[in-house]
Amino acid sequence: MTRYKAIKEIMDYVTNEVVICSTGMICREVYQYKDRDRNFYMMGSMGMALPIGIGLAYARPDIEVIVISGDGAVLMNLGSMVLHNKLHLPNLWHFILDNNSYATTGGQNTCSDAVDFCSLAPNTNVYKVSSEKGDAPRIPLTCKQIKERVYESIRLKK
Amino acid sequence: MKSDIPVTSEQEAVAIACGMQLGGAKTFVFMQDSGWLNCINNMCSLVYPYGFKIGGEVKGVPEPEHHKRSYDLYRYLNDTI
Repeated sequence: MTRYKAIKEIMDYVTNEVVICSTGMICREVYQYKDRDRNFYMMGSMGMALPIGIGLAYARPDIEVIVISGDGAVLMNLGSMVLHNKLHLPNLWHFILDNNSYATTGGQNTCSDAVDFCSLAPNTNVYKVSSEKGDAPRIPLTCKQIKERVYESIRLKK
Repeated sequence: MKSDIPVTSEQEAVAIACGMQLGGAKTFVFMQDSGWLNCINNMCSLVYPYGFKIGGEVKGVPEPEHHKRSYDLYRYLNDTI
């Protein structure tokens, strides 16, 4: 399965959930396939998509949160998987697209073949994907626009 | 609702605070000053560009290897960003 096809499969299932995309090609491909107000593109901070999802799901039990990470990003911040296991948030789903490489920087190998992500935390799904680089264009939104869009779309009306 | 979350690293604490703020919560992060150096990447590529405003307190210990560098960096970040 290619990474783009896995993203298609996840995004076809999405209705009104907030989707938090991890650094690099995942952001760009999600933007290319299905841009929504409730997509948060985290373009820097590798490995921080899951903690952002944990924070959002913890603060807002009324909304469903989907996090899409790469294997390199998860391994960079593996402690978050443990925190996810501890908090047991029922409204947080984590999808890991595992291609066993850092595709954005040229396909260097990661250590993802030495770990079983699904055993670390609940609501975790792993897609084994191929490690092509992909050619999705850059996201033409500024970081502040991305944040404001998500913030306004989930804001509680008083 | 007041609650606290135990975390595994300082940068994770900052990211969780950003996520909670995205959902409209008020947040506050406590850490030690050497841990502050641990979350510089997050401050530069998540908090500042996306315009999050997280409250925080950095607790210092009087040891030169921690204290001086982190204070220098704090001032540098405040001056430049």
